Amino acid sequence: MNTNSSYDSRREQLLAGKAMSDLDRDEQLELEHSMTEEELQRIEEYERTVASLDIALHSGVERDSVGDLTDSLKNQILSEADSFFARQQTQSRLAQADEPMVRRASEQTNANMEPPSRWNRRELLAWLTTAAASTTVIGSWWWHNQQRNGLTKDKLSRTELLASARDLVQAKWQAGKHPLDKPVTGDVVWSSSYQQGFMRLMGMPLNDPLREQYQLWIIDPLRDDEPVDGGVFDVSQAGEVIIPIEAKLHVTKPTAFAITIEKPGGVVVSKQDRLPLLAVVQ
Amino acid sequence: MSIVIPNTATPRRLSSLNVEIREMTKPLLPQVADGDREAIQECVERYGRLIWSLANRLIPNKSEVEDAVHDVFIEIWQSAAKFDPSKGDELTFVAMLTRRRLVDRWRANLRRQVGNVDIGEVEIAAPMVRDRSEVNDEAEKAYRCFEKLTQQTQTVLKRSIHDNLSYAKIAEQLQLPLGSVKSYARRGLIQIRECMGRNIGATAMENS
Repeated sequence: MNTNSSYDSRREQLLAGKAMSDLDRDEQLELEHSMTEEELQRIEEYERTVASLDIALHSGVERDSVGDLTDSLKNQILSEADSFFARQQTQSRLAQADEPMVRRASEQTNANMEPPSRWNRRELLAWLTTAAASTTVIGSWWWHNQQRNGLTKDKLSRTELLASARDLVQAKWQAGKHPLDKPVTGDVVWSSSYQQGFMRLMGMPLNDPLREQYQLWIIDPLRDDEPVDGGVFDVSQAGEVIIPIEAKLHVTKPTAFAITIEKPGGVVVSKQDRLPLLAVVQ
Repeated sequence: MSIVIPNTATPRRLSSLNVEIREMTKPLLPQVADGDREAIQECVERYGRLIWSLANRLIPNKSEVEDAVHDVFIEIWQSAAKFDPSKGDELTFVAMLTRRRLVDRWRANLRRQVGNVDIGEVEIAAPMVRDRSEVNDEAEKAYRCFEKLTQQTQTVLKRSIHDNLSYAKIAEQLQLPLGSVKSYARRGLIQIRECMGRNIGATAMENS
């Protein structure tokens, strides 16, 4: 009972500490170990409490002394908002355009594959054979279609990010500590304000996801000494591939990006035994 | 439209001001999430001053304040759809997002300076005079709960949250061990949250 209560009290202090951004590295690891959804919500409640108290403590005198946004800054913010929502709408339209195509295909498949209402063994066997063949064909078509649409969608999203991000960083891939057999070209783009970025890779060897996967790491020394996990990904087609970056933490100012080869599912901390590609922000 | 209520010669009851503030601050974020241009414009007008003043307080390097404000607004556009009025008011939500983004930036700045500057020296704000006429419901509750804390805890929380001083600096100023300062801050916050929860219950009972 006492042990539980002291554990709860310790957890509560860590949650409060997280909301106040005061956890040291060990405490951060302790908190992240087995953190529940409910605890994540509690952290947000604590953050709200901090914000409420800050508003209450905030001085009118101080506000007056620093003034307000200038008209020029307001206009810049509104113009950025226009770009942001335009990008969002395009992405949402692209996502919607993908959906009906897949739904239509699956609806059609289902309609054609409605089993006969009265069964005899021969009919059942014929129906099962057709269904299995259709599933294979549709599955294969769907997979290739998804690959193509995904690439188009990511390509458009990348182009939009290039056009709208004010703080875009761009770096070219170069051979890392353990170069690949054939050179890979391309670049990586990242916007910290949008927390969005893309890798463009040409000539990247295909991987077998059951044996190994690629993992991106974002080096952001201002944020942390440890690189930020940028997501695990596969390369399943030759030629140009565009992969969206999925940073697991907020990235402040990246100085470099590295791709490692890891076991399926990726790792929390990379030993960097295989680091074929690196992109350094100039 | 600004959320700031002009100072009046005679103190006005906070409850009546809150009604005014509520009227002036009907949630905008659901419309913002849909990309409504008018709501976005109104959002910049309504919260711009708060964000600007928080950024000026939390970002020591003044040349970075405008950049920080840009980042905060992007965060607001990205998170607008997550606003849930049942969890609290919009002003607090915006302030929470603002602090989150600014603290990230502040910590990054600190890391950049830490090589040659003592963290404790990164002091940001001068003592301030509070104007209670600008607070919203949640802030008012938070303040009432804050006032119930011991003087020591109040001082630690105010210097940490408002003045944005590091625990090391607070420990030095108050001549307390660093661990005690951390403990005061966290326990104080836990107490305020618990007290606000109870207040919400009490308010609901009063209103029923």
